[in-house]
Amino acid sequence: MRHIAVILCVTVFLVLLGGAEAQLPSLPTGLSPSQQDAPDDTDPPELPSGLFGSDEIGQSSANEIDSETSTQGLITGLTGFVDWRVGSRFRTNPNHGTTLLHELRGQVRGDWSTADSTMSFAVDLILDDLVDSRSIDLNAGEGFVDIREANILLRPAGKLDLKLGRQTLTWGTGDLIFLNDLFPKDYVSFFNGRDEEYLKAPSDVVRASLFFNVINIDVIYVPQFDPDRFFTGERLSYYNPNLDAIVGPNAVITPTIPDRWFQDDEMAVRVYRQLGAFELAGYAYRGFWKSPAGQSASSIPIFPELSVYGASARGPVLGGIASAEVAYYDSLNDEAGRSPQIPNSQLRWLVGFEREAGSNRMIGVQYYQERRMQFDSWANNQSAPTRSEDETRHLVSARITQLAANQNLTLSAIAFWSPNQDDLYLRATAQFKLNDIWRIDGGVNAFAGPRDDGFFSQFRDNSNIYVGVRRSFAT
Amino acid sequence: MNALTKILIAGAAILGVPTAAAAQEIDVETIVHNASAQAYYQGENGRARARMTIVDSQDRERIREFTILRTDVGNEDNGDQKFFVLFSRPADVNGTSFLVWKNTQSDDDRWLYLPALDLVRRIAASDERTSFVGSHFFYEDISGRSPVEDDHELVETTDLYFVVESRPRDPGAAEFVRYRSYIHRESFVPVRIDYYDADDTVYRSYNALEVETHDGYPTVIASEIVDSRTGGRTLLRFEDVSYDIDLPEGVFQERYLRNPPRALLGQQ
Repeated sequence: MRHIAVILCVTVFLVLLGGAEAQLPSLPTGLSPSQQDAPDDTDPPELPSGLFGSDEIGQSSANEIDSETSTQGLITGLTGFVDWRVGSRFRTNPNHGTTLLHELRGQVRGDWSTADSTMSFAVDLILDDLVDSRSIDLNAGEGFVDIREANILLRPAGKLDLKLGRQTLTWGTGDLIFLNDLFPKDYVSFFNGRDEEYLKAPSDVVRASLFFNVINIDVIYVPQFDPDRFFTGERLSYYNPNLDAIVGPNAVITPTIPDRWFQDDEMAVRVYRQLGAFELAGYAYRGFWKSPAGQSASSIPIFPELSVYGASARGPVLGGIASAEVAYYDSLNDEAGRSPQIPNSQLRWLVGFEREAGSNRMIGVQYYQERRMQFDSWANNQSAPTRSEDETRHLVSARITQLAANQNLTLSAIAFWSPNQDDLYLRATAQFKLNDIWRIDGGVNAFAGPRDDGFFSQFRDNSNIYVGVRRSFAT
Repeated sequence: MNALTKILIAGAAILGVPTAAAAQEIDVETIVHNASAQAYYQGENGRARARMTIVDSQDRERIREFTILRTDVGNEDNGDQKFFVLFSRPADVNGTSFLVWKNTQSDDDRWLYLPALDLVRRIAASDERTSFVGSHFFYEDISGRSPVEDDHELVETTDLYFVVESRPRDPGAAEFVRYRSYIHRESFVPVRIDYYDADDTVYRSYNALEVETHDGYPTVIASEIVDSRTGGRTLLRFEDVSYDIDLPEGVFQERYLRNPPRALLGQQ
């Protein structure tokens, strides 16, 4: 009897042990290595190596890293890409041919860091099939070289960052709508199928950033005015108010650009802070309208002087991110609004909301308004009051972005529509990363609307479709 | 209880051999609290360089490399945290940085910085159980799932493990019905986590593969997520792990999002 009990007990014990072993994972390397079992997917895990008494392993690993980081002070890695893309108008354009983009572009980007400074550069080399001239203009981004970045970041004091040189600058809360961001844009690149990063043109500036507990301050000084890479008529046909017609290379804009160093300068300031999860900011700018706005007595397009004051807030609301921004554009050369040649002062504001709507899907909406402050005075002084101008431009936008295929495919579409000026811009893009090196993308820029002078509808005959292939590299 | 049993238990206690009686003294909430603290809250802060190898069902590999900085708000285990991530590979995301304020009581705050545009974008995503940078790791696997989001039950105590079953308190907010964690009894390292779907089938597993001790803290330096539905897996390996480092004020702010602290990140 006693024997039977013992056998039963042992059997039960073994069964329990066996049953437990069948479910239990084996220990990974580093966790009590002595207790490791042969790995088996259905088994409990092994302990990982190194949990106990493996300081030596940690030490040797740290040494490996030390030897890697000892290369500091050298250019540790260059990255970049080669990008080929072609775009085609899908409407007949009396001013331009069908092809609106055909280029091969290479970019090299690098950093060089020491303990208290970082130098950065990014240079593009471009073979553009659509331009005859290859002469280089680094400010206008013309020619076969475009220096995107060439700057040095210094941290001379704990609360101060200085970034000197050519750099891209962005602030504000809008989705592709910029109110207090008066840094140069390149809508030509944006509208004709270049990568979205080319929406921003670089600036040559001194940027001082101060960080305090209560508030942070950015001061950006631009010693020589950096205008937008504006519509000239060469690449995209546009509405010319003097001719009251949509024109192209037959009426290229050659404005007078304020270019005296330290006199035709710009200053942009942002003060900002975090309040809980909300970001609050105030802005001020002194400089010029960034694209040709108005004209001189001799009908040459000009960049009138401009001051802008504004504020923004952004933070979590109703499971998404809400944003609001306002800016007052003070048209300094005609504050009374009497000149027909100078833009009115304007009040611009927007509200936006973005949230997740399903797995890997984001949706966003915006409302934007632009109001002329002395509209009656301005309209009464128009010499040719034939055009139907509006005091206010209303604009709404809706965006949807979907990631798919393990986030290697990005589909995004944003539509802008002005209900009172009846023009529309649809931008749809698809981007697929074949692997870590190759990427293909394509998209549509469609403009519509009956008016020749609408901000979007003037480009309707530039509506286009494009494709691109990019190979990234890293050294 | 007779004298012999008492002596045996006392001996086992002295020798550090876990006994059923000793195991039952620790309640499941303490186990999951300790496991979460072990996996995500060691030290006051930490830094590591990470390399993810994402393998799809056809064995094609993609690489993600980034440096991650972490600080615990108020140095409290299982409380709020802040993370800073700077990507270096693949080449097209080099210099992209990512800031997360992990809030245990509300949605996380996330910011993404795109260097080519100098754009600080606020990320509205609230779903923690979506892929992190296209890998099989979810955001939550990187920053931790709060123990209070699930109900836990200690289903078994083995020589090596506390085996804990967890079910989401809000079933609509998770794609799993339950998950089973094998938590190493001595270190509280979660060694394996199996996620079960509505058919009670394991479709996703986390495995700790290798542990090293850095600055006195046992650290999982190699781990993987295996997704048996898609047939893919991601290996995550940490290097250059350190804890309780000197973090200047403001690292987890827009300042360093725009101009990452390279010296701190070991990317000088």
